[in-house]
Amino acid sequence: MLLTTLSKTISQTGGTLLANQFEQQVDCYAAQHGWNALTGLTDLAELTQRVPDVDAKMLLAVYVSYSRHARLLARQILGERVLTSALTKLLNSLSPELAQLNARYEIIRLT
Amino acid sequence: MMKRTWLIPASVTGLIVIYAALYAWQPGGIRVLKILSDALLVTFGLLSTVLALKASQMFEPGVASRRVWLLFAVGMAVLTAAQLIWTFYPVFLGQAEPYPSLADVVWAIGYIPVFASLLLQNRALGVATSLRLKLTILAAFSIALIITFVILGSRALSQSGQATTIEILVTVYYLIGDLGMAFIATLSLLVLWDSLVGRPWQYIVISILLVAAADLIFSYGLLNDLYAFGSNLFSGVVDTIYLSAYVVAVAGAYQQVTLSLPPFDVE
Repeated sequence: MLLTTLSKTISQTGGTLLANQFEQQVDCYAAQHGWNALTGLTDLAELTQRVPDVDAKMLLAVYVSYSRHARLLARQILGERVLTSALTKLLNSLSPELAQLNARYEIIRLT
Repeated sequence: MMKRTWLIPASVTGLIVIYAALYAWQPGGIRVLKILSDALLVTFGLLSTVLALKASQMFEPGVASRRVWLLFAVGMAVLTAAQLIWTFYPVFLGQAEPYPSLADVVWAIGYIPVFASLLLQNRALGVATSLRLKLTILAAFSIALIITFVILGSRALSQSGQATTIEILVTVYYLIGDLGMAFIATLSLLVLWDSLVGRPWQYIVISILLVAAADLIFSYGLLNDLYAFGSNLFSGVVDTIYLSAYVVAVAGAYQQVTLSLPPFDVE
């Protein structure tokens, strides 16, 4: 959800080529940190189809690290104000359950 | 590998310095310089049109940014057509450009798509700018506009009969148009200044500010009989600023077309 939002915002403000490069670099980051090997996921989007057979804490750590790197990269591309605006819209669109979960684990953060 | 971010500013600066040197040196005389200047303005106008069209294709259909660059391309095409008409008088008819002329009508039309492009870009960002900041920028541009009107207006009134109503109206239209565009462009730049996607817009804003400055100085020069192409430093400054605006617009569109992330840094 986070990566989709960031990629869509980059595509709308900088073009599809830039959005593709963003996705590739986030995937590179995951590969560099051995997550693909650790979780058996080719990319984070695969999480919507299956949950890997790993410890929940480890999966959360992977996801948080992934999302922080994605945020950092998106900040360089979009700038703080556009990024904050996109994330605010995303947070406002979360269901109450997901909002509660996010408040607890701080996966999507404004700052 | 480090991305060569200095290449575009260095190229822009180099071109402007070469033009300024040619303007001062004037190989072949004023007529050759005039043809060269007009040819360069048309060339850079066309180049920015083509690059802006290419930039629009970098966005998916339906995305606002696609329309933003498309409108910018249309605006640049119309402004280039105006420049061509402006060139027609001295090159083909061998007479000085009348002011105002058909070129001014086309220029006035060209402002509309460029302004619409900047407005759409600002809205497409979806970032609310605080009212206080908007008012502060508006106040700054309004003060600039008032000062300009006072300087130009007092001069026009003291020479009553020399400046016709239509000349004054055209000048007022240009100044309001220039500063209106500069206002919207500055608002967008405040949102995008620290980002990669903002880099093309940094050039576009500078280009618009340069046009505003050139129009302002040109109007002052006309009212004070200071402007005469290729004849003095004042005219050189005006013409160099005009050319710089076109070159910087090309740089902005080129930056958008070549926008890319630096390669992933493997630790």
